[in-house]
Amino acid sequence: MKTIRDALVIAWTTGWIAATRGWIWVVGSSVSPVSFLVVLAIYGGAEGLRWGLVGGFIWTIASNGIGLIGDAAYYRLGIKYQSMLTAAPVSPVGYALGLALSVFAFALPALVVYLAAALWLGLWILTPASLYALTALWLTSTG
Amino acid sequence: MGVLGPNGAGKTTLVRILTTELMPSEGRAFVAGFDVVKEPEKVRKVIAAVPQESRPIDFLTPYEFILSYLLLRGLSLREARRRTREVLQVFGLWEVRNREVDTLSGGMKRRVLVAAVFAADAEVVFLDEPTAGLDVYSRRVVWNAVSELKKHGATVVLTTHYVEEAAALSDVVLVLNRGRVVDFAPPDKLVEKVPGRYVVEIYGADSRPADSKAVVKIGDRKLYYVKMPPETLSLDGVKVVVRPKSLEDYVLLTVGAIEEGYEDD
Repeated sequence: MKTIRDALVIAWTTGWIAATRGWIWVVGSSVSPVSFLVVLAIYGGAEGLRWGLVGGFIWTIASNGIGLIGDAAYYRLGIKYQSMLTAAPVSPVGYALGLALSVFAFALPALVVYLAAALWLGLWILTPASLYALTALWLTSTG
Repeated sequence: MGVLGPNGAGKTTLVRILTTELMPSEGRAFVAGFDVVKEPEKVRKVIAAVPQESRPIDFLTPYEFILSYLLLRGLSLREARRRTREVLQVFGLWEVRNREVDTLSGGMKRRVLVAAVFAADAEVVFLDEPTAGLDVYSRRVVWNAVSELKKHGATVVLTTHYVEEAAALSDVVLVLNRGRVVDFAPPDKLVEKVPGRYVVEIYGADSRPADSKAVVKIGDRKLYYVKMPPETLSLDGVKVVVRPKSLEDYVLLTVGAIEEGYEDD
């Protein structure tokens, strides 16, 4: 229970607050996948757009996960926040999970846009298999 | 407890071992009766630390940073909110509680960190060079925080380069050099080990006071330890400082550059 709570507190501070206060970063991280979506829509029409949506989902989750390396290094080496929490009853798993969730907070707006577009195109991508694959991608990319 | 020593003496390594961040290569260490290697989770419950060169997360406000730190330590939301409000007032941060940390001065950022560990009410608090780079006013604000921590019954382990800081705040001082304990005693007992009563500090001249007992040489600067301040010392154009001996002189004599002709009586 403490692990979940730690993860949520970390996600609140390093994810939710960061994303709502620095919304320009959220826009920035969403722009690249969306730009390819536009290109695919122009050249591939509705079919291209469908493939673009699937690719956008994957790209957004993976790129945000990989971007977490920078955040983790900043908290550990830049401001020694991790050291401060090591000297406190904070679960290491909760800390890592919290950072992974914080990345998700950044990716969420883009994912909502993709999901809305997918539903509009009648593309039901949230099947159990795809959800499992996307969750696995999120966990592996956040590391 | 003040921990003194030159760069590379092992002060931060000691703190990192005692805060369970680093495994000792040999030997055993206990904090509040708990083994740092065998019982790290018990140690973490009773300690709090401000690591060297640490800063609060810059996009949070002081209120959010302290509140989240207390929640991570396991306090209930109500209690964490109460303590956060209280500690912001104690540390003079109430007016800036809703400003992003990034916009605060270096002294205020450091105060936010110390306030967070203060609010945690830990048994043992580690402060690794908490006043490095701060102005004289901000340093004293941090000193007040350390005194408050002591008043609340916490054991404070303070590493510092500022000898006067260790002398002013510590009941006992641990002097380290190259990973070894040089001495461990109250500050006044360490000062007693320095010969003479006064220090004559001369830069760029070879003249020396008549009754000097020992001399420290740092480049062209020489420090002479004398019983009485010299009445006449004619050195044209040379800066001479005469002052009472202090803990700084003990550190200079024991771990600093000691001239070959050092006569310790």
